[in-house]
Amino acid sequence: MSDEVSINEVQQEEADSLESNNEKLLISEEHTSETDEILDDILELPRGQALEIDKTYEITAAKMTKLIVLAGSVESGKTTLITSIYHLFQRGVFAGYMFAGSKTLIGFEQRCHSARISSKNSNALTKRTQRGISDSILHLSLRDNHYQEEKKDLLITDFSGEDYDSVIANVELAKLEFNIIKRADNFVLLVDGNNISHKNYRQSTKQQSILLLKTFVDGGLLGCDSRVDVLISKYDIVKLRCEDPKILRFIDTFKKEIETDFSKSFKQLRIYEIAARPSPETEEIGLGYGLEKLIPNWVESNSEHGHNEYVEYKPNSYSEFNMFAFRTLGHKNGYENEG
Amino acid sequence: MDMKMKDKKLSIMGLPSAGKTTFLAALWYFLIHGKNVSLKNDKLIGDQAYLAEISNKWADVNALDRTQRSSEKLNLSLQLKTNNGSVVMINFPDLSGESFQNQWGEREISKEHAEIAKEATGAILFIHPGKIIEENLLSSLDPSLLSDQTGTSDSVNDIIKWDYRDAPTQVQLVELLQFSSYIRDLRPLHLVLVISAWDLIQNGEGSPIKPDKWLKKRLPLLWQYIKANKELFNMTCYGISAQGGKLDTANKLLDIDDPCDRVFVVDQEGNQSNDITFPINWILNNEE
Repeated sequence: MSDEVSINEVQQEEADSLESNNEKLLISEEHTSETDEILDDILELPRGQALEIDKTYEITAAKMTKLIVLAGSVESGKTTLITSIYHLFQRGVFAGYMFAGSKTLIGFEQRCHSARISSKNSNALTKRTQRGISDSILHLSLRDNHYQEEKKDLLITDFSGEDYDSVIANVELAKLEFNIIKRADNFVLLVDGNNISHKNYRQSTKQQSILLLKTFVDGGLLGCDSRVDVLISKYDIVKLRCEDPKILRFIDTFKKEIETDFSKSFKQLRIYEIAARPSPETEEIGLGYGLEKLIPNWVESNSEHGHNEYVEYKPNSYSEFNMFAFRTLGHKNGYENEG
Repeated sequence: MDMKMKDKKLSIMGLPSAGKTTFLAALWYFLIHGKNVSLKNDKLIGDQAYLAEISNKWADVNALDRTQRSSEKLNLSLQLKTNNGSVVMINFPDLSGESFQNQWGEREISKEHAEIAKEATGAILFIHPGKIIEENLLSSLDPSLLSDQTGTSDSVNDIIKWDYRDAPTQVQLVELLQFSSYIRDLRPLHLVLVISAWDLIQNGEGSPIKPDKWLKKRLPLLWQYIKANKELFNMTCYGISAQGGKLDTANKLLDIDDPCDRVFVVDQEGNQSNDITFPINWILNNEE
């Protein structure tokens, strides 16, 4: 008797357990069904983040687009340059152009955050761009103030300074990592004004800058069709130090050396000073000092690349930089993702 | 002879507390009771109890509840008669500002809302001048004030994380219009920008400013975006005080015999009237 009771108890427990599981399954299915209904009722909107390289094809294929590659060592001011241009358009028409839209407003906003009061930061700092990140291209659409031309699209790269530092004097690696520079309509090299005006760092800063240019030239990534800007950033700091005449002399020498070494290598070479986000202490240098010269050149330059056509990006190395880019491209071109 | 009735769909947009519902409340009152207005209610159709309810509160200078997402009205309809006698049906929603802010932050839109944006031939975008988030750079602060900033770490990693709600108002509004164009496959749109609570600006210090000039000065990114995309947006601007003043001046407002006389509307040429139907009438006129 006790065994039968025992078996019945076990069977009852199993039945109860089964019923309970069935209930849970039903609830789970209902929840999934509700979730599916919710998802069916929702339309996803464009993410607005900085673009991955393959996502720019949608823009380049459809419209006249200019690719602007910003290059330079860590903390040379690449991201600050981009965000300052964005800040200036938030104030009004800039350099004769109107802001006509952006597919990467979230990308801009995230990069600007640390320089705003809402960040509760005590210093206007720009977050360092992470190495090898693939979503690194920001988009701006501009239109001239007098409606003389159609809108123009700018794709501006925001690659990590560490990526650039890693290819200095390594032509083979530069060719693998920065193939995209061949496609650039404008190449902009930022030289850290804080370092080039500092006794302890100026020599290495000068050498690194010249070597980076030389690496890209000798690697065939920059050439006689290239439009190159060399910008000495943080000019507000340079100005504060220029009581020492050696500093200005050194910077002049640096500029002359760049001109001597490279002016015949490029279609256009310009060298000047900027202060994208000067400190309040230098009252005579306002936000975006020097930047008004950049925009017209970027927008108006005639491209040599026929970039209305689809330009396929082919990562050809398994370096960290390319792997991040490649993950977004998937298995194109027969490459296996070694992730 | 029966007049063929035109059927028009409008989109009403704006961030939270932009003044959308207050406008609708005042509009409905004008359509029913207004004199010398460019649009009048032809006849009541369907269920307009919601509009009657908010209109009553508006007439008594009572605060209107903020439209919640759960209480949105997707399809309000009005049968109107224009000054030249033609009858037109307009359909429009009363949506919550959170729905629009969520488009910016969550990057999604309900298919119902998307359908409204897609079908609309005209849109009214509301902006409240007292609720603008500016782009305030640290570099614009007096350095002595920076010591008041909390979290005074110099490490970028310690600063407060980015929140989409803190983005400047003009950036959020540009994105809303970009989304609208995206949903509409770049079809042109008749766009009215209504700067609500215009009494705050009109009664401010300095010489009177026209709505378009105010927009260029206070929301320059938005102004540029619309002007640079004139193929997408046929735009006009109105400054409207649908209430006539702040709620804490209710006694003074209630002394005015006709609630319609509290309202004032300034067009982009600076002409003032109290005809709150102008924004809708402008859209209808531009569609013909």
